Amino acid sequence: MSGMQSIIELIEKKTSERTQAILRDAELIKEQRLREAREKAKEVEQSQVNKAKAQAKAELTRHEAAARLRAKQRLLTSKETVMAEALKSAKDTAFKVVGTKQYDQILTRLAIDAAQKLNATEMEIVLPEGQSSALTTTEISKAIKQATGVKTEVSVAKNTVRATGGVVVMTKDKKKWVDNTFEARLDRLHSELTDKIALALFAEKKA
Amino acid sequence: MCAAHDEIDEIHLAEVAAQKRIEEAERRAKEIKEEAEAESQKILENAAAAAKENTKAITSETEAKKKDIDRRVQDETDRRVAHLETTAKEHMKDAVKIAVKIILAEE
Repeated sequence: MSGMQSIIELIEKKTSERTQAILRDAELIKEQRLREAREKAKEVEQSQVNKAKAQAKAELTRHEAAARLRAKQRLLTSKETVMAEALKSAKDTAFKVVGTKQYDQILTRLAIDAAQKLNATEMEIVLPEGQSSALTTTEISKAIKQATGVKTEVSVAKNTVRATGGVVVMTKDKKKWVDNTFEARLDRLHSELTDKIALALFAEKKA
Repeated sequence: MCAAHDEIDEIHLAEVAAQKRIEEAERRAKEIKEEAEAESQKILENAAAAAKENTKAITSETEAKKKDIDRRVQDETDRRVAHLETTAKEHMKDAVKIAVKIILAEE
């Protein structure tokens, strides 16, 4: 082989090596790029699905909570409606006792109840307008003494109170009083009334 | 002298041919890289489309589940309200009696 032939063969050999290297590198870069793309695609897809699943889960939790709240409000409204009906019925029934035979007994009881709370020696009973009563102040005085041990003078006041029924009892000096009219009791005892009505209406009887 | 010139020419021709082959290989390598870029882009686009489809399916499933929840809670509430009203009806007289006693200070 001549020197020239050797040089040409060397050039061709080197060229082949170089071109193979160029193409091999390109293929390797391609493989690497595709592998990265597949990984990224998988990651992106999984991440979006996970995000959607998490959003769905949160949305369902919120939706169920809102539905439960609406249900609770509906139950509460039903309870309140029935309780209001019971309270109205009780109010009507109580107001109907005015003028009946038992009304004086009720007034006496309300007067004693109020007088005991005042704990004074001289008291006045104020009745609703237009309700003259056969209320016996002696009986009230006696009952108060029995309950408190203090001798008390009780009288019926000339002035009246605007109410459907019941009494207002005040100390002689008018500094302290207890309003035991039906309206005042309804107002003052509203919480106790609703509690007991609810208990009576909705408490499950034990088997 | 002439033979030496011929040899130089042949070597020069071999070098030119070699340069051409290298340029061709480089051109092909560039094409391979561009193909890789396009394929990668396609893979990502497909993944985005698949994710969009999956999200759509999840949203649709969620809507169905919401309707199930509404139905379930509604049925449950209907039953509870009916039970509450029945119980209340049974005990209405007692409740009114208790309330009247409180208003009239009977207890």
